[in-house]
Amino acid sequence: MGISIAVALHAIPLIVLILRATHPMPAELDDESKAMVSKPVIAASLLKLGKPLDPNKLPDRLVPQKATGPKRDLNASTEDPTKKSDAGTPPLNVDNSDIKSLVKKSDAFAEDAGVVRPEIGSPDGVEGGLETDPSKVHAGDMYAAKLGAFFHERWQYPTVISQGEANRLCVVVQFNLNPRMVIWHVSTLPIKASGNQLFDDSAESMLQKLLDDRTSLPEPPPEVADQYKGRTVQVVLSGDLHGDTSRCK
Amino acid sequence: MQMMRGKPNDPVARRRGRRMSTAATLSTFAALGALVLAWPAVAQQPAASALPTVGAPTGGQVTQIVVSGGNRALFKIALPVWAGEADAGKSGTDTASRDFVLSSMFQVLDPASFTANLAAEGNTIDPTSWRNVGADGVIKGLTAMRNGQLHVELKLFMVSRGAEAVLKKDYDVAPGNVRVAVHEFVNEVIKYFTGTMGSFGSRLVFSATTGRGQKGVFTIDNDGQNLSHLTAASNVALAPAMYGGNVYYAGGLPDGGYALFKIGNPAAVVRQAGLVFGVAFGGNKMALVVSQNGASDIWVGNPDGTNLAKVTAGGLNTHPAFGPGGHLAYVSNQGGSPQIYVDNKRASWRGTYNMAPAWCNDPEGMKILFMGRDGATWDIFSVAADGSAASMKRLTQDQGSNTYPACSPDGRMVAFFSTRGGLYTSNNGGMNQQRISTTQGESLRWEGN
Repeated sequence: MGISIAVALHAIPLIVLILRATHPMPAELDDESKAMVSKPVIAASLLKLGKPLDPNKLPDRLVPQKATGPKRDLNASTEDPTKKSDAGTPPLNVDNSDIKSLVKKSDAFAEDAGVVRPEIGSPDGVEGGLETDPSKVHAGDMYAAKLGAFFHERWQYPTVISQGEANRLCVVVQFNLNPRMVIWHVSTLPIKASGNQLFDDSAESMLQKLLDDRTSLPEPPPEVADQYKGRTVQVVLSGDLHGDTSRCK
Repeated sequence: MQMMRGKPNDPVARRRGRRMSTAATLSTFAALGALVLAWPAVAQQPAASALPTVGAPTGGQVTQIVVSGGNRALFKIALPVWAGEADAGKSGTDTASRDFVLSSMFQVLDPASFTANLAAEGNTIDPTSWRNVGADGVIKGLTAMRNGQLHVELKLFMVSRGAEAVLKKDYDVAPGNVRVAVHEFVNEVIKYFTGTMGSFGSRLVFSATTGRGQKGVFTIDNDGQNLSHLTAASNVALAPAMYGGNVYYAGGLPDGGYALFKIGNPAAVVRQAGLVFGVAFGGNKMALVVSQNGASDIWVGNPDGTNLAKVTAGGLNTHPAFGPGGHLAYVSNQGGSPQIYVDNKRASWRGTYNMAPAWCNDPEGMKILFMGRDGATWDIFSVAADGSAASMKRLTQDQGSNTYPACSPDGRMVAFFSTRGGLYTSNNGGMNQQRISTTQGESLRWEGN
């Protein structure tokens, strides 16, 4: 008797859940089948921070802020890095750190809100993308990101190209690396031109500068070294701020 | 674990244990039920990709790296000293350097950083030397006297394109007038990069106080050089405008009236019943501001003053400005407070006192610049020509009082007076504000716009 009561008690919530899923409540059906009713819509252009614009108040000036990070090739500290002692554990409850402030203010997905982005990759995989060794994949990802940052830091295109135009531009340039990760040859013409010579020139100039300076690229980890050392490498440079490289294909 | 702490034979503990066991079992069933119901959604999620996003070899031979965004920077241009006539070369490089800075598109590199051997290079460049100092472009010049004229040869080199000049122009100008050639070449350089000519070499015209109760008409080059006081027929010369190479203004008459005058002509060119307080030209039309019986209206007619007809309906209507297609912007208080109107439609919807509209052919869309009162100061604003409230932008703020904007014919530069101490220019977004003169004034207009 006790056992059957226990089984019945256990089964009740499961049955209720199954019935609820298979036979929705009339109220829920009503919600879906309810006729669409038009409601007044306030144009987004008339809203600012969720409030109507005050017609008597003039707008504020928007001024782009300068980057707060240290400039490239500059030491953030005047201390000799070889003699620099460990700063030790960070103090507790540090709320005024610049990094924390930046993280608090940033929303990683704000730029993507409401915008359909092209899918990255292919569901069937791509040629050469069959690596299954997780350590190798991870090392490759980390290094590729490092290399991407290396070129991003050095690539500048002139402001005579408007941001709107740059969003539509993409250039593919090619160079050859020697086993010491130094560029020894740069292709004189882009593999795929952007259609804007200034934009193409900016990519070409970056590589030429690296060639002239004999600047070494970051050393790859052993797992992916054979993909870079002594190999031909292409850089796809897209002016799109959101990383859309669909125009590069 | 807590359950195990009770005594094994304690009936209370046993009952509590049974209740907890029942609750745990119910929870498990509920969780299982929820999982069964949610299973299709879980199953539809794509598996995490193991493919590296970048760095994957394509074709087994070429590794590809993707870089997005990049950094936008001013085009770095080098202006080494020109060969030939020393004075002309110095004046030329100074003028070009100033123009490039004012254009807001270029960064002029410090000549002290140059490492190129200019003598060995001659009238070409060694790209590596210039790339090493960060130059994107180099301008080289050669001047020589020919038949009493100064011959100026100017070349633009793109460091990324090697030793061949991408733009080359020759000019013959009067000695001491190298600025004309330089302005023309800078406009060509801007056209090379943007597709439209720059506006250097054009003039600004304005009125300014010349004494107690007196005002005069002045012109100044748009790089701040050649300020000149034009001789007006009246001691009170207001609201000047340019048309067909001539400067017109509203001038006081001995009888206390005001009429339209032209510089160089002592007699009034247009007299109208009432007081003429302003003028504008454009689209082969002329607009006059005529004050009559306590009202101020805009009258539009032919540029010679014929066929004038009133286009406003009383109240305060001033500051006419013609835009493309003959559209007329002006200030009117027909809505209660002075606001900007275009062809009788209100264009400024924010602020309580907006005036002095100026059309601006911004490459990103036609705009109207104006000055708006914010508390005790004035600032410069822009609004799309269709007057959408959201398009209104502020170009100055917390930088003194800024008044009477004017826009360059190419729409890339804005000029205005500021209580910071003179006449300023900036780009059409209000950035790169540069003082070009210490002169103060009002009713500023840019030649050709």
